[in-house]
Formats: sequence, C-alpha cells, structure tokens
Amino acid sequence: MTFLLFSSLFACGPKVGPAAAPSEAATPSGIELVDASIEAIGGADALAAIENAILTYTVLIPAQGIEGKIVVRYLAPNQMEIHQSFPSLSDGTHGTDGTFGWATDNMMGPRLMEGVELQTTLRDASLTWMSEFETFYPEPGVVRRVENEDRALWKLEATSAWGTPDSFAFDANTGLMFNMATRAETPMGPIPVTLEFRNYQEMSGLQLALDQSIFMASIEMQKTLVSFETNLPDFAPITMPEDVKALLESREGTGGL
Amino acid sequence: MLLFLTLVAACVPPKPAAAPESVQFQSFEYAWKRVHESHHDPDMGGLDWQAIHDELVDEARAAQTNKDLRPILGDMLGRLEASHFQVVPSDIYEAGFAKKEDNASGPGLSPSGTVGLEVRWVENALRVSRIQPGGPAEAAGLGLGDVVVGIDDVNLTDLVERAREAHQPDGFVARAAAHSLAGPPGEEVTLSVVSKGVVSKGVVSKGAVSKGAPPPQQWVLTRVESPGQVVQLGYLPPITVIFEHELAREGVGLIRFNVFMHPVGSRFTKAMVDLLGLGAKAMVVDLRGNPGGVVALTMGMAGHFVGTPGQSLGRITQRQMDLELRINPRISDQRMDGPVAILVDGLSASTSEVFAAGLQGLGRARIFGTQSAGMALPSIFEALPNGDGLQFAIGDLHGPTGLRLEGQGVTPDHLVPLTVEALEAGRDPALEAALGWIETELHP
Repeated sequence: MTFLLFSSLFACGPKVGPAAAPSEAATPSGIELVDASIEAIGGADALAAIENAILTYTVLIPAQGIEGKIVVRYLAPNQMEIHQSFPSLSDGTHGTDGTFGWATDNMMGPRLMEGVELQTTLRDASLTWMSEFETFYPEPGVVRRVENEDRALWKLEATSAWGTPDSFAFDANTGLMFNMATRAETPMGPIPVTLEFRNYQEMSGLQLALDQSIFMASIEMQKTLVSFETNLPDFAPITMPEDVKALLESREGTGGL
Repeated sequence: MLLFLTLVAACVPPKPAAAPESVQFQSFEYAWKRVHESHHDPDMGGLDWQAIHDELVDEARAAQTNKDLRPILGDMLGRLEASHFQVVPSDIYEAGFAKKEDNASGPGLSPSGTVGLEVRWVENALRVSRIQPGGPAEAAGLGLGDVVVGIDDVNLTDLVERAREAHQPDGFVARAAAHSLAGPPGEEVTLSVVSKGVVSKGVVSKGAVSKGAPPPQQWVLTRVESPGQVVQLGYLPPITVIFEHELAREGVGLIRFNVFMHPVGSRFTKAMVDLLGLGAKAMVVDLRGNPGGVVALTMGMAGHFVGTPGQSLGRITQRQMDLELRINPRISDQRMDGPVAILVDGLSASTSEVFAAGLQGLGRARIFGTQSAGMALPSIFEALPNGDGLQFAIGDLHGPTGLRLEGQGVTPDHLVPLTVEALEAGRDPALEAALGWIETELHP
C-alpha cells in the first residue's frame, strides 16, 4: 500500500500554473509529463528541501461503513513509516529504514518485505523519486491523449524496472497527476489499484490533492489529507518495530525462522 | 489486509436502474446489481440473473416497508443456493447494541447479553451443551443435555421441520437458537425445556414432546452481560468476542475463541506465548461453534504453527484476481512445532473452515469432531439504502488441496460426534480424542 503515499505528494494543484504543462499541440514524452508534474507541485527544489514530513489522513470505505486513520512519516532521503488504524479491524505499521522494508499488524504479525513489494517501498520512501523517474521506469513508455469527464489528460503507460505495468494520467492543462493505476504487490498476490486525485490545495508550500479515491476492483476507499507538516525540529527517528527486529534477528541468527 | 480480501471484481457493467420509487425499491436494485457484478462466477452459477430481477421487480416496487422487502430479497439471494448471501435487518444494528456515546470510558458499544448456555444439535434434538459457571442457566438449574424445544415464541421443532424442507442441515437450528439466545442484557428470554432424564432419543417431534413424556417446562432467564468484548466492524452486526486459553493438561495448550474478529489476532499471539512459557508441546484449537470472521487473521494465526515461508491456507478466486492466503511464519519463541489438533462441528463455518482445512491440507493439524458447516465464501457487508445490511459473497474459496469448502466443509480426520451420554456425564469426546492423539504423538 505504500504506493498510495507518494501519490499524495504528487497529486497536486497548480503551483506554477498552466504554463508548466506540456504543450497540447504535440504529444509530450513521458519524462516531459513527469517533469511538468514535479514543477506543478512546486518544483524539485521544494521537494528536496523537505527533511522530514508528517501527513495525516482520514480514511473511509463508505459502502462498508469502515473508517480509519493513516499517519505517514517521511525522513529524507529514504525512510518512511506508515501507521494505519481501522478500529475493530486492524492496527499496524509498515515502512522502511532505507535498507529493510517491514510490515507488522495485529492480524498478520511482523514480516519483512521481499521482492517487488520491497523495491516499491524503497522507491516510495523517497519524496523525490519522480525526479529519477527513468531509474524506475527505464523504458520511455507510451503516451496518449485521453478524456475523462471533459478533462483532457495525457496518459503515460510504463513498465517499472521490476515489471509492474503502471499508468499515470496528467491533466493536459495543469500538468498535475489526475489518476494512476498500478498493481500492488502483496504477500497474497498482485492487486490492481487505481487512484484518483481531487481538491488540490496548498499545504506547507506544496499543492496537494486533499481528496483521493482509491479503487481496488469495485471497492472504493476515500482518503482525505487532514494535515501536512514538514521539517519538524522534534521529528522522531524512524525505527524498525521491536517485533520486526526480533524477526530479523531470528533470521540472521539461524539462517531462517 | 481485510481490504485486500474484500475486493469486488466488477466485470459486468451495471444494469441501468429503473427510476427509484422508494428506498425499498432502491435497495432491491442495489442488492441485485452488487451481487451481479461481484459474484465470482460471471455466469452466476447458471442462473439467469436478469430473469430473476424481472420476475421480482414488481414485488420489490410494491414493497412499502423493509419488512415487505426482506422476503423478496431473501427469495432472490436464496436462488444462489450459497452461503454468505443475506439481509441483516437494521434493527440488529440498533436494538441493544446501540453505540454508547455517554460511556465514561469513551464511545463504545453496549455489552451483549447471555443466558449462560450453549446449545448443539445432538441425537435428534437441540440440547444444552455448555453452561457458563455462575450464569443465569446454571442458577436456574438447567443441566447439560437438557432439550430446548422453544425460545420465546419460536418453536424449535417447527423450525427444524422448516429447515429440513429447505434442505438445511439439522444443525441449522442450533445456529438460529444461538442467535435467539443472544441479546441485550437485562432482557428476559423464555426457554421451553425438557430436562434430562425425562426424555430420550426421538421423543421430540413436531410441535410437542411425544406422548408419554412430560411437557416442557418454561424457564424465564434474564440475560446478563456477556464476559466478552463487543466489537462492530462496519456494517457487520455487533459481535461479542470471547477468547480463552489454558493448559488442557500438562504440556498441552487449549485455545478457544468464538469468532475471528479483532482482537483475536493479538490475543492468539499472547496465548501462544503464555502456553509455550507454561511448557506446552502441543496445542488444541477449539473452533466448535465458531462461525468465522475476518479471514486475514488466519494467515497470522497459522504462522504460530507453520515455520516454512510460502505456505498457503487456500486460495480466494475472484473475477479479476486470485489471492493466496499466505501464512506468515512467526519466530520460534511464538511458534509451536509440535502436534496441533483442531476441533470443529457443524457450527464451525467460514473462516473457521479456512483455518482448519488449511492446516489439515498442509498436514499440519489433525481435525476432530464432526463435519463443519460447509459455508465458506469470502464476503462483505454493505448498507442498503433502506438501512438494512447486505452480506454478499465476492469470491470462491479452495483449500490447499484444491478442496472447495463451500457446500462440503471440513471432514474430520477423527469423526467424534457429541452424544447425550457424554453430555450428561460432563464429558467432551472430541477434546478427549484430540488429547489422546496428542498423547500418542508426544509419547509414541
């Protein structure tokens, strides 16, 4: 689920205005679309200036009446911790210290991420990873123009370095990301997910999409950004949870579980 | 992770709904559409779902109240002949379980009530199978093996007949009875009971106790607060979670819980640590009467018994994806590698069956008791526009050996039915058989 996080920072309102968007006259390249979206957020320098950040969301699955809260903590350059709580269901944390990726909750217990899930988490822990887009999407991808609810979009379809077929749709006028579709890698298998971003507002100097709709098949989760704080002087370190540490030590000590 | 388990595939375009005429009609359309787009089989098991809609739509349009609509929805959902399709009346959410905003400890749920007994279908009758020490049933003098023939105005022998007509197993009545016995604390429940010693096998027949046997006595019991914790997740009805663990005998742990809901996952881990600390070398997990719950819990709990990564308890099949119920192995301090016995009965359903069948299929557990319910489909609850809840299955489920659990259930390795004789003697044959097997495993 970590892929949900980076998108929160990149689904942003017009910071620099329509002039930053790729020309509508010619089909832009994928990297031009990505660069324009970074500019629209506030620019690569603004993102790079973030040493730490805390994002707080409320979450609702309206059809099922399930509510929750998500708190995301970033520590530059590559650490992230996400705490999710859904009362009467689950309470857990996942994240990375830049080397290991982990997840632990009251249902599954602790585990260490591997493979694509780990690679994705390591990528998403960087607030500036889209500035290195070609590292994660080595092939240029395919760009085409699409319409969505009378909105002109440029859709970039690209395959990640680890083989995930992803797509990113950018507003043709503002350059901002409008939606994205990916395949979330989980221990249970891959799950197709689509995200839509709405209601852009400026928070802490960046334009952020306050409202996100996340579609996992036909289940819709609504995620609302409540607060976004950056460069906090008393930001607590991101550390591996104790039960994950015990799991890691168990593996290192025995070569297995 | 529940979110991952409750994904609904939407391959079928929604049918244009007729102009809404009432919340009842809207609810009919909503239920029809959600089931249509979410059923794991795009062919709806061979049913002409559109024809069923067209057959029932006029009745739905005429429904004036939720009570009018429920049998229509019941008819529609019943055509699927599968578990996990039902309408939950809105009063289930409201009566007795209302959220208490004035609770001194903060918002929470009102406690559920119990009369302090459990019932099972044993030798052709519904019998008291467990009595809570100090509870209302014990105080009233009810005993193990007593035959319950009525709860409030529900004649259970009639219910059995109706269940048989509907091709439901007799154990269905025990599930219905358990539902009727629960409710708000402080309310009275009237039980019609024939005490042990005055009836024998076969004397309970339709409508009355057979000739020669004394008439049932009326017992009015007042529900007291259940010892468990009430939880409510979304539009699932409120559920009381009861979790117990102990050493069944030296070296053998026993874990029993009534539903797979929060906080069972963390309680299970704590129980394992406690029991391992007490020297447990083997474990009995009692899932009798457990109707299931959040299936994701099984992956973490099974990890207390399975150390090999990559093992799966089963596979959920949906239209757009398959999901493996991959076990998450625990560290050795929390894991028990010795013999594991799981107890099931006809009321063990859904997630209970996933857990039992999964560990059985992996060769990691022996199953004791009687055939489980065969009601195992992943499902979700959503709110209908009229306030009722709709539970509907969103996938199919197979165990690690490929066995489809729905309609079949878990077949015990050791079939050990409960008997009247054992009940009246206060014995638990399934547990005894499990402990006997464990003894031979630990001390061959």
